[in-house]
Amino acid sequence: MNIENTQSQMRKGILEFCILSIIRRGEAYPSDIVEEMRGANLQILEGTLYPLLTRLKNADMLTYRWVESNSGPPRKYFSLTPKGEQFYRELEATWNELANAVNTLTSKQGSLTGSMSNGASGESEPQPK
Amino acid sequence: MKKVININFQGRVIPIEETAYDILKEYIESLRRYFANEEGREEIINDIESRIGELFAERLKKGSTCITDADVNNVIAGMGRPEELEAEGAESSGSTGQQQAASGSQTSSGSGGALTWQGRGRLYRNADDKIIAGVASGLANYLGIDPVIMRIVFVLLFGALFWVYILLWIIVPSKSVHSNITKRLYRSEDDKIIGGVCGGLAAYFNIGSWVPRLIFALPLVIGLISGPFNWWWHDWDIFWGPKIITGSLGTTLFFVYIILWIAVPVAHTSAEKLEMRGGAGRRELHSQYRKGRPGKL
Repeated sequence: MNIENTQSQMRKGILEFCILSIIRRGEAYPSDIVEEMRGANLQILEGTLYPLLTRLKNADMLTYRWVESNSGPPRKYFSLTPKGEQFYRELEATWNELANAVNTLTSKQGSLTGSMSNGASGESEPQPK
Repeated sequence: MKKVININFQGRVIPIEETAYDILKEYIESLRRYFANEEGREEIINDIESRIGELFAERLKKGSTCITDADVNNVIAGMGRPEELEAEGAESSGSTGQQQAASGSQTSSGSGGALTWQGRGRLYRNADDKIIAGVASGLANYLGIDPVIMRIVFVLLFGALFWVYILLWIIVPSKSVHSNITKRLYRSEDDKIIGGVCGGLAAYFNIGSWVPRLIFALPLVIGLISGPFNWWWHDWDIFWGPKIITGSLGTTLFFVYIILWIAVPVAHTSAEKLEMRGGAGRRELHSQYRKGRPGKL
């Protein structure tokens, strides 16, 4: 159990959600997506983005259009399909739920006197049963 | 002094040092191996190559005479090497092998990342999700089906499975089992007429909600159609057995509906609604992630 592993686990789930939210605002070129995510201090490698986009596209969440560029071959611009929009909304609702829950729980924890039950795996919370 | 070669790279002519070309070629090969099991492999590689070509062109435009080792290494650093991608795009880096071994055949189920592999492997009674002793829930988790369905099976085949249940209760140890099921049967809150059973079934089996509705309403429809004839064809049902359809089948369906109404929970939260449909697209996505996992190469 190392910190990097846990952090990357946390990030992974929201990466898709963030990418979709950027594309949702309008057609996007992959490296612009990376730029924007880095601008928001969310580090992502371009090499991670391309497979994600292709998978989302193959799942009918995204579609793309070739746009002529003045310097070289045309570029792929991605946009959301109706299915992708639906998918995004569901992710958004889940995210809001999660964010609320996490905020509620972590703010509670701050007021308690260090009653952190930091179980190594964290997947089985003790339930009074 | 270095030898420079011209390559045709994704529709651009790029002058590149021979050593830099070797590095680039090696990198593309490593990506190719990394994405070997990926469905859209060629497309992904193509996209990455295009982008690299674009970055090279920018570099040349800024005044470089050719692409050097350093340029290639810079580009690769921005793209990420396969071993770096692994940590971000695919499943967790540390325990990949372990998950791989444990998850085995259940690749399509489970979306919870590192936690999912726990459910499978050994049969436990589920201490977290139980009505009597957690046998049905544990068994369902082991087989990768919805606990609700397993419970209904146990209730319907009560006579035959009673001793099986008792036996499993005694033999199988109890444990908090993390569910690895992404698709569950719920009653639909949004798509309902009586109890949302049909809406939930439709979502579970990914069919139009009129299908289960029609099936459940069938005895009623047939009853309505055959009803007017019944008064003069008293024994019509002996040949066609509409009474079997309107009578016993109708009763069976009625009870099935009632049982589902009682046993199946309503999907309230959006997470549950996502589970209700098994998150159609999500499921696909996750199975694709797994395909891309290096452990499977």
